[in-house]
Amino acid sequence: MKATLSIALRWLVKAILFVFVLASLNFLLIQLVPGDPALVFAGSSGAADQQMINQIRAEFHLDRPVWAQYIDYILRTARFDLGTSFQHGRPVWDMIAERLGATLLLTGSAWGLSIAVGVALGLVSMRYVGRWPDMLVSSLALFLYAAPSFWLGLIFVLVFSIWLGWLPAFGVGTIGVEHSMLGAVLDKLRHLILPALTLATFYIAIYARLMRGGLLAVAQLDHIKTARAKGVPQIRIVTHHMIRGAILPVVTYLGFHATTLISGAVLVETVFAWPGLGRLTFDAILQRNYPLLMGILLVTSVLVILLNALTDLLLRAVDPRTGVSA
Amino acid sequence: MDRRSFNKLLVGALGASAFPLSWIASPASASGERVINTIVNPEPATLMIGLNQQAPTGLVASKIYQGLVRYDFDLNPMPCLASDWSVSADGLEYTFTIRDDVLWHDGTPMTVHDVIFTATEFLPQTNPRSRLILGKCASITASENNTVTFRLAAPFGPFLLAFDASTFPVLPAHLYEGTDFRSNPNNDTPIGTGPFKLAEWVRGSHIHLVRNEDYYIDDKPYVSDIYYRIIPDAASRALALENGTVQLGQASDVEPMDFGRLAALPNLTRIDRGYEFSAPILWLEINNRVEHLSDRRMRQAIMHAMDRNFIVDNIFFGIGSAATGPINTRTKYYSENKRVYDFDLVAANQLLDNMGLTAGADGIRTRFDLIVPPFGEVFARLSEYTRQALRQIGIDVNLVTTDVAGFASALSNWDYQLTFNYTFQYGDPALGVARTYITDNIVQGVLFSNTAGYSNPDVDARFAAAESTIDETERTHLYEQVQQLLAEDVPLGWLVEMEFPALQANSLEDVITTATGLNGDFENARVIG
Amino acid sequence: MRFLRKPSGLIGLIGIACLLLLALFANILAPADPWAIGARPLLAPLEKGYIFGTDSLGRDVAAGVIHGARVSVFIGVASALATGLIGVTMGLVAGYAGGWLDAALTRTTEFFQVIPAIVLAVVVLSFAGPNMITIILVIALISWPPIARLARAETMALRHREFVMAARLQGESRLSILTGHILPNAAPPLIAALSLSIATAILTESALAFLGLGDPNTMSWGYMIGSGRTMMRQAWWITAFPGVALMLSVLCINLATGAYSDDLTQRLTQKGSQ
Repeated sequence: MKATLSIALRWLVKAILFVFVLASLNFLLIQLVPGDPALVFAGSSGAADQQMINQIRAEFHLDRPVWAQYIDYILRTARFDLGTSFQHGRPVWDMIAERLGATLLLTGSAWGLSIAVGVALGLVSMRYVGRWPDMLVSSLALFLYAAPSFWLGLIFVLVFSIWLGWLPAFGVGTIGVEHSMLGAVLDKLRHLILPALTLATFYIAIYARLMRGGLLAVAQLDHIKTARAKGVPQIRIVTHHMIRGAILPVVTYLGFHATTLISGAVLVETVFAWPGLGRLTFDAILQRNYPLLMGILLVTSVLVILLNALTDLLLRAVDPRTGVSA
Repeated sequence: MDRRSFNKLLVGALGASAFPLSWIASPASASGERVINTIVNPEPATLMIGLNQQAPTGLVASKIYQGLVRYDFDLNPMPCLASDWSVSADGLEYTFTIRDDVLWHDGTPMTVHDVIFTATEFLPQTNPRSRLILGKCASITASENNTVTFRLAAPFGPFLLAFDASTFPVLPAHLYEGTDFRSNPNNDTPIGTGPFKLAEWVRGSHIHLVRNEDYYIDDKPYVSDIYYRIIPDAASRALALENGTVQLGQASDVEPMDFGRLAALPNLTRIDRGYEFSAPILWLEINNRVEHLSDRRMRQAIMHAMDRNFIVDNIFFGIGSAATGPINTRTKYYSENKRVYDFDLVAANQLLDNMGLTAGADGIRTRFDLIVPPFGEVFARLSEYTRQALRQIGIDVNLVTTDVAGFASALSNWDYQLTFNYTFQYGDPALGVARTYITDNIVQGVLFSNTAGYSNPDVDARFAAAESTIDETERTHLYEQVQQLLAEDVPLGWLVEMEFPALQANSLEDVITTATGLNGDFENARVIG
Repeated sequence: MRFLRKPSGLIGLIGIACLLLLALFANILAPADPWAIGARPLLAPLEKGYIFGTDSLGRDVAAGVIHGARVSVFIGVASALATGLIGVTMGLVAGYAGGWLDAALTRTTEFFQVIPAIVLAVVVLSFAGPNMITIILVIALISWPPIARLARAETMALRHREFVMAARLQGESRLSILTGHILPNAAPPLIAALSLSIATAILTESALAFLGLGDPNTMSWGYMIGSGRTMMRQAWWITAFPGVALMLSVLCINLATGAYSDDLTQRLTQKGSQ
């Protein structure tokens, strides 16, 4: 217990330092950008003059020296106040929070889907090793690994939405139709399938390969051969012994996978008009929305750190021998 | 961990995820059956029309707030909050008779005091365009019999075109007088005089307007509810129009290539009216200060080298028409009587030869940078087309992409060579066109000024003279001359008269009845069948 | 070169060769400028002799795919070189120096691995402005950490070997040891990793172009996919063909690199068991 506590404490300190450096760097990065936010806000109102621009500058503290803005930013961030987005007149945190759920839903589903399908395909490969299902899975994995996710998403839309009409092409729910609670969940599921699948394909390929390799290696181990000789049913051998042995590379990869999910979400959310953080990021950059940008960079990085820590814990739970230093 | 746990994880992730309830919840059924579902994109920042002149705000808030007049399709004023008006013979005094039967949405009667407050205190502080126009008044006073008199320092021809809801929304003095306008809590619950009131605004989902039961015209409005749905993706919006979820939309709501397909659907009609007031012209913005671009022969050559019909057909998919000069055919005082530039590569090359710009071994005479405006695919294709077109006359164009702030900064600080731009014309050259060409409006750091740096005293004089008279014949004559002069100088490469046709379901009627189209107040709109 | 005997390696290498040929001889295979607006817009594949059809401005999609190969190869190789330069240097120094320098460099590596790659790329590109140079640098910026980690691991494993000890005893400078002894021995897995990073770089560039942050003067596959996206319903070929080209290129690079590193692992384990 003490060991876990001290690890957790060290992780927390490290995380806080990380976030501080990250926040500082974010601020620096965005200060280097050419372009004046006051000008943009004034311009997009349809008419612009100096008085209006000055008004905006004063309102949003753009007239204070940079170092004062920096200290202000760090202090506010510590209070979880990520500022206000001028373009929308709303707190940045609100805008991120209302999109966070969508991204978590998408990335969580993709994560789970890729593990489930990847492991399943790995099992198929092992079961039929050397025969055509194995070849099929391996070839599929190769193509899925190489295909760009955004392009694959578009092809899915083309085939399943435009040509076959089975699934909706974009968004998160059918507009204008009233649903019961169950109906709403089902509708959302229908809209979730293609984006989650698109985000999952790359990792399905990886996990399938990893599982296959892992399972084949474990199959050669002595205790498996012993169990088989003892007459233990195949199913039990597979689920209780082999998967546990072979899963380690997959679980190790999970952490890395989790951290790249956010990046992948930016592309997939753009293709499917999924109302999440990824889409918000892109819009924020187009609009040169400084407060929103800084907020998103911070939140997504913190998410990554959190996910890293979670998968670290997961790794320990699965195999306490793996002492991953904090 | 085994497969079962993973599947549990999957289901758990789906079920327990915290998404905003608004995704599941659709707007509750309307109180009446006469409902219009339409689109606003992107979501407005606020509905307080006095503070924000952006397009989405105007689209929705124009049902809540009203101006003194409206404009018909020929840009003639029609009564709104003003029942009548008169202009003095010398053109210096405009007297509006204000209706005395109007109530604000909170029940307070509207009075001339509100009009005075709007004109003298609120708008000059918050709306640059209004400030400019109202600043021409020597005095604005209320007189007996519910009238307001605007006394101008000098005659100003287009003055009557400045009083609709977009330029002069009448605002409630009793809620805003003496307060800090931008932080006034009433900004979240806009109170106006219009036929519709704000019922609910679910961020990210929709804005719900309901009929104003105490509207000053009996029976109107005929519609009970309007839902402005917020749908971020063009393809989703097209789908919503197609399947009837949404009954009203505008061309800019969908991708240009989708528009034709939607307009051809049996349940939708294309309405080619309602943009007479904005009537924008899209042009290739040429920085007149840059070497070679400062020579008008270069600019004339560029005009000859670009096939405006090709642009309209393939980049705008037929939505729009080729522009021939600085004034839109729908704006007042448009004249055909000027030099036009046909698509003629021979003439273009000849002009450049006359300039002495010879081509090198690679066929290139000179190079320019073109900033691609970051406003969508249309500008990307337009930039690519321009590069190809100008290559035919030996000009190498380098495309530069940037973001919105960078674009605004480059344009307003004259830090560009070529780019694209467009402005609304507001019905009269003095209101929307002059600002682009007069020397006085060369102001660094301000958008929608004379950013190209063109300066011609003859043009300045004529613009000035034309705006300070109310004699129609004289104005027509002066503006004709302006167009002729500008057509010779070609300070900008006029390309397309942009159009914003609307898509209306067959179940709707009389939605677009003014020159501001979908930005009208919808008091006449009906839902039939 | 034994890995050529494996079928996957062979296929991969043939694919890469095709890609290189397309890139080198683009001007001969498709003499027309891919940007040229000449044909009728929106011709379907095989109509009027345009095997991949034309786009909304009447540009030849096949020409775009062929010239796009050039862009991809250039960016892929250049990014990999830049990535290698940064990553290998960081990794070698960290692995050899140890102590606080190692700790500092490792923290830096971790820092860059935490920030979501595409988000960082998009932010940096939007202030630097997207052109060939900035794109290559940005791709290197997000790709170097894994290379650095590998280089560090290799260096740490190698620095205690006899020939390194011997070189130190002989008074060789650290730089000379790093470049003369460690680097050559660490090279094979690093080369494999860098080759893989070529594929990743090609994919990243296409993702950035798809998002609108590509170089607008280059016809890259990502750019074509992005521009065809809004026309999926009317003209699926604008998006489909460049994507297939992308996928096949990346696939072949993966196959060849995979065969190479499999071969490496085999040789290492054989060596180890000797």
